[in-house]
Amino acid sequence: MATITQPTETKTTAEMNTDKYLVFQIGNETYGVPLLQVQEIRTYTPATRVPNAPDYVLGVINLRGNIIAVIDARTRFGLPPMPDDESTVVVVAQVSDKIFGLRLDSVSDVMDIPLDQVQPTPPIASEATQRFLSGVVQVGERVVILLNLHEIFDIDALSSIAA
Amino acid sequence: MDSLMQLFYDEANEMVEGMEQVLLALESSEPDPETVNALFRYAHSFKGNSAAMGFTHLSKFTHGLESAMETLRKEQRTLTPALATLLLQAVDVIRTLLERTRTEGDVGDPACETLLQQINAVINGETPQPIDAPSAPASAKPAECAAAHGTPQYRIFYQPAPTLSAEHNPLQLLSELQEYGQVLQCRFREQIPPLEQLKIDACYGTWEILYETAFEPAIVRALLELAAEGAETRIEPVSAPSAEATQQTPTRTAEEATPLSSTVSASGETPVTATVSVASRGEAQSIRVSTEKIDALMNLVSEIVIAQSMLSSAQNANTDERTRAAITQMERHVRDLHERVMAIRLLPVSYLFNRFPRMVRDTAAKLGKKVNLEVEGEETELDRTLLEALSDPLTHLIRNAIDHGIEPPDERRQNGKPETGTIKLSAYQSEGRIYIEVRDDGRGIDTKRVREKAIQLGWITEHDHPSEEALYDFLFQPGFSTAQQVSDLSGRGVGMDVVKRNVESLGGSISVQSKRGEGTRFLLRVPLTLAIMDGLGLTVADEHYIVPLTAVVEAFQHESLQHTALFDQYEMVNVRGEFIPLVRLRQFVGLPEADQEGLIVVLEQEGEQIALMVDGIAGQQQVVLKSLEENFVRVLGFAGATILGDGRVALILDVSDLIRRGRQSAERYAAVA
Repeated sequence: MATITQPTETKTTAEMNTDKYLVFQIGNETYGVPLLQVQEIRTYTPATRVPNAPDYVLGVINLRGNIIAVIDARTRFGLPPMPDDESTVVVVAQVSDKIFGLRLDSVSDVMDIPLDQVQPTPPIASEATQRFLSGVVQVGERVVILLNLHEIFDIDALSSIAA
Repeated sequence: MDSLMQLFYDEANEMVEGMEQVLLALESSEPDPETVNALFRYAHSFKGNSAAMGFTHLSKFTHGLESAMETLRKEQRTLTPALATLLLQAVDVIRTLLERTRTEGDVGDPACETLLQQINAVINGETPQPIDAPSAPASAKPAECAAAHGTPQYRIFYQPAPTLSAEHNPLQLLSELQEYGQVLQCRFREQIPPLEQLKIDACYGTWEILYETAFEPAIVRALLELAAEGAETRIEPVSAPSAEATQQTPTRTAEEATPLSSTVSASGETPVTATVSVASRGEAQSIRVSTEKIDALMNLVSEIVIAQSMLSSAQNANTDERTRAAITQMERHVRDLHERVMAIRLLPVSYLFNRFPRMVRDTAAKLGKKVNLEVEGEETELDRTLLEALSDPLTHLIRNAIDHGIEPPDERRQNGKPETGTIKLSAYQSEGRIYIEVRDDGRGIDTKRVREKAIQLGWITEHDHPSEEALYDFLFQPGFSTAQQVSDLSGRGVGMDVVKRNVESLGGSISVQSKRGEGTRFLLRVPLTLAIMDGLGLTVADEHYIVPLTAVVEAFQHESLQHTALFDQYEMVNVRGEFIPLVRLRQFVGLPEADQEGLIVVLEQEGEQIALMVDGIAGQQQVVLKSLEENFVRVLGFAGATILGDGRVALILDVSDLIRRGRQSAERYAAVA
């Protein structure tokens, strides 16, 4: 087997300790999830209800032949639900080895989040929702609340939905 | 490099299994020179492969085996049981070493050396006995009219495949040949095309080798096959007039396997050996594809099926003729494509059954019993995921049959039975399901002891006299075991309840029949494939659910049936004089009750029925079964999900769960009545 020598890439930009985050608005707050965990963003199509599932599980949808669950971010955070409109999206993300969708009002953009400036979440939220947050960071004018997708999906808590 | 390793292990495992089968076949059938040759070939390629991967110990050991086989072969000797046992042990050593190389790299085992010594001692100690079985294949004949001075000579023509690749190594061929005889002459010819047609990676040379060896042509041919796969090779005995004796040996030929396959009888009485077909390496033209790739392909095809049905349903009165024709044609192709891809996933059950002869042999030997395993219908095809999932339940059933079913030889003799017990493993397809049967001619199930045990466990009282069937049912309950002593074979804490659960998790069922003193028969029923099934669409409110069509018996208007409810809770409907528990789908899926009466669909599984009340029936369709667990969780009451023609997801009802719920009503009723 021949080895192909690749030209070594020279990094022109200085190594910065930042990570890309997908940023969106729910209510008045701006939230962010690590872009690395995001697979794609889809327009929202109605999900099939799963009997006896918790209310924040909207149901299951077809993602190119795979069945994935969709979780409503608003319901999960204890916020009043919003009807679907043109900007309603599903962010498809992967946690552990499972894929799920998170229904959001809209997504705004992708931001570089300086990791060394992330602060632990102040106890702004109720204890129940506190675990969904992994930190807060100030970027320019905006305060971005970073989300912990693993806790939001929380597959272990669902384990098996008893009918 | 990883994939190369994977390839090595895949091949190695295949070879280990092949060797084992050949050995077991040799034991119970007429000795055949071709089978010794096959063993030799396995050992030989194993040696080469493991050396290539740098596993020197494995390679050394297999080299030793190869030499032993060579001695056997040269002296035209057959395998004695003692030798076969030693060689089976050697196969086990190879298997263990293989497993260990995965984590420990190039490891050796002191057992190798002693085993080799034992094998050689047996070989050297035994008086050579000539093979009385069929003479070597006709193709081997020319060797006998050998060159004048004793050692036959051959002229070998060797032309590597037009495109040289790493697998073709002319030098390796020469050195292999040198190992088994003497290369007297080696001529190289070249046919180089004009410069403008010259390809840089092509081979334009041919070799002509004058070769002297005591081995018969079959072995020389095997060597050529191994060292020059894909190449054009030809062997001619030197003494014979070349025009007559020229043997074209394309490297891929099934010819070598024919002598053995003739032992496969066409009748139902297929002996164990029938499962063994000693394939020469190139017999089946196949390539290795990872299951993930096939699954991905299957997924894609399912998507196309869905897209196709979307396209079809988008047709309307305004669709022009040409588009219609195109859609119709497309439909046909998609269906074909679907079937073909499905077929790739199917494997013959022999893939699974082949594991059992060895297990039966070892287990029987350990228990001092004589057992003959008969296999039938091993060509029946089954989805490979199903096959793998069936391995444990079947292993358990067969072990049980040997351990508890088949009596010791003297007991059998006393009862006027042949000393050797028979376990019959058969598979067949019927009504879209696969049936697998494990039948033994042993002592049968002692229903009296089953009853005693059930009383002891407090499941029934002294006064209860359950039917035979009900008693058999106890066997499948957790915590039940009639074995007088826990053996290290069957009594390892996994009981029949696990077997039942495993089979049911595949959407299948298991039943047992037994006759005291005559034997026991376990029947497993599993779906043809886990991936696809015919479903019936059921609707409640605006929701759509699927139920497997195989479970649907009939449907009624609710008004037409007599309906009763015990304590306003446990509902039953009267279907032709028989009361069947009623489950309301709306209630089952947590929807409010409808104000109008719906339809009743009668479902059946394993002889139990349930009446399911729905709002409507949406028609029959083929559905691709999808796992809810893969990216989500298991949802009780549902077997999975599928994607409908419009791209929406529909959940598939778990009939056995519905029946379980209905059973409550039935039991309440029985208690009152």
